[in-house]
Amino acid sequence: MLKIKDRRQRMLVKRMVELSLKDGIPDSERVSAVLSAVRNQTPRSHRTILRAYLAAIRSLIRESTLEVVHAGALDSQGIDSFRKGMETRMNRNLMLDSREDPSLIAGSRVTIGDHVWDASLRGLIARLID
Amino acid sequence: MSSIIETIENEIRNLETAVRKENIGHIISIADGVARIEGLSDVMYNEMIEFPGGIIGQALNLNEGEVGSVVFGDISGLKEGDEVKTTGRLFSVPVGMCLLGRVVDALGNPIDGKGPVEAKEFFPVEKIAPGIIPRRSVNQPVQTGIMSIDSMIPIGRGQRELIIGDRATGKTTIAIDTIINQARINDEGIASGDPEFRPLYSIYVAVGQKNANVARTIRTLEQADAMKYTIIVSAPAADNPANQYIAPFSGAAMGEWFMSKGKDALIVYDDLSKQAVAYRQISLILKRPAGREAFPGDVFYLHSRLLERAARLNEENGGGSLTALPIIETQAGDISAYIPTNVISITDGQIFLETDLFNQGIRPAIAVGLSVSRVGSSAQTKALKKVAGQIKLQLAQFRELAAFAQFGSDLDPKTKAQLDRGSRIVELFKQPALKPFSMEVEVGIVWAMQNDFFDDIPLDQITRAKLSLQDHLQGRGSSVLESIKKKKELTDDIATALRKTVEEWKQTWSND
Repeated sequence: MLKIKDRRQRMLVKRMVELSLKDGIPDSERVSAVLSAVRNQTPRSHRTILRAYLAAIRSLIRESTLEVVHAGALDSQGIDSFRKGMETRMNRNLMLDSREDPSLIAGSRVTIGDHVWDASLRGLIARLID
Repeated sequence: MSSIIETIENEIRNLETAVRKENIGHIISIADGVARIEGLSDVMYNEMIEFPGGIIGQALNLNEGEVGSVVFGDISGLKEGDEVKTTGRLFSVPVGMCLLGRVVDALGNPIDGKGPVEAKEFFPVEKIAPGIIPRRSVNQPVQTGIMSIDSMIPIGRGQRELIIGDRATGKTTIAIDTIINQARINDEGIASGDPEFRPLYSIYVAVGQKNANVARTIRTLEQADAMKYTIIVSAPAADNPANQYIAPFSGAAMGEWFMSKGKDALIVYDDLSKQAVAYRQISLILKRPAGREAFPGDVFYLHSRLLERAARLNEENGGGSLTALPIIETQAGDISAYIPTNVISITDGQIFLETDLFNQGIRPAIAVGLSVSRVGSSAQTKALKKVAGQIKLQLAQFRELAAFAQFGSDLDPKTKAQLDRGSRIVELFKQPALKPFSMEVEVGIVWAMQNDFFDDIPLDQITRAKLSLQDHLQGRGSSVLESIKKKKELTDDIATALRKTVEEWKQTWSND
């Protein structure tokens, strides 16, 4: 995460991030509105503030994204109910990013931020090799 | 039969469906043995981190969204973006008797080509030192075999005695002599079958040294047949700074195993100045605030937590001990520099070696006035305590008088006598490297000095006379030596027998 030494600028970035969230998840409309407001006001160290804002939003997106990688096809209903289950478990709203990856051989791999639940055959083989 | 098959099938099914939860991160940057990692939100301070290719690291800096970690081993295969994992474990090294006679790196991996280390136990490298309750005071000596140290600056089991001096003043030699002497004592003790005999195992930690020097040390120990009681932990100058930083802690973990099993161990850190430099390098790369001499603020804690692990445990806790001989290299004899003052204040005394004395041929080049053992005579055998009680004072007075005597030619008889006695003690304490004396021989020689048997021997003949007396004691006076060794004190009977033996020697001695 980009560090800002100036306290006021840090507070500004924090406020910008807060205004960009909808139900705890970064929202594209809100982000556009925040960017437009910042563009109109042009605060000091504009570029630094935007970079810090980008880093914060990127980190938030990563932490709010439920990435489900699966070896075979999964039905959308099953994935959605899994998302709801994970939301209850994590106690926050999550964005779903689901994709198929045959290199897993079988099973699936779920990632939220820096937490990984690996139930794939590829992961199992890797663990056995270890 | 079918139930057995079902049980195994269930086990396989469970294994196949087992979900492994991991906490991961990605390398942002890596340089000079230090990696910055994004993620790893669950990582704990000092936790072991797993890098690709089985390489491990240790989390040292926990920032918001970023972790600073040292990486042990070869980092050339790692790159930005590589995935790393937490392990939930503290960094540990193999421990046990199986390490004796082996040369290992800072991680406990063998580097002597003698095959794998068959360790059954692992100890964490970072461990809280024993507290007040399980400890007892130091009361048993570590015989270095160096007459000047054993008589004036005695070291006890569980003590931390600093060896400090400029480069090439014989610091390592003192440590190696001690290890060799312990091996000799161990051999004799085990051969005697004495059930109360406690062997002292040695661990030599080489930090930031040239590989050639480490190889020479190993060869010396092998030639003296001391390797069988010794573990060598090597983090040479070519190793990355992370290995040099952790090597003393790895050695301490290996030593603690002996202590925890009620055994005695001696650990030599050669040297902590280089470890501090490696730690400074790591800290600067981790962007920790620099303090005096650019060392980080916690460099005192680095050494204090390491040296506090040396202890003598009480009987309820097994009675084991870990004695530490840290070595510090000074620059131009400056003991008031940052790291030397830190370590002096942590340890229970120091042996200060001077370049001037070394160049004058006084070896070991111990500066008596600056050297001290805070444990004092409680770490001496009664016999040595009795004969060596006044020597340190006499030698210190001699050095002071010798400095004044340079200004005037007329000296009173008392001063002349003091100077004469002092110069004889200096000659007597000259001792070549790798030739340690046994405790009983030390007692015999120092007793002879204190009882004026060397007074009529010319100064340039003292060394020869000392060796001659040693031969005589070990030959015709072996029974006296045996009594001193057994009783560990100088009773009136033994003193009479010793006088008789020394008088016999004196009659055979000729000054030419």
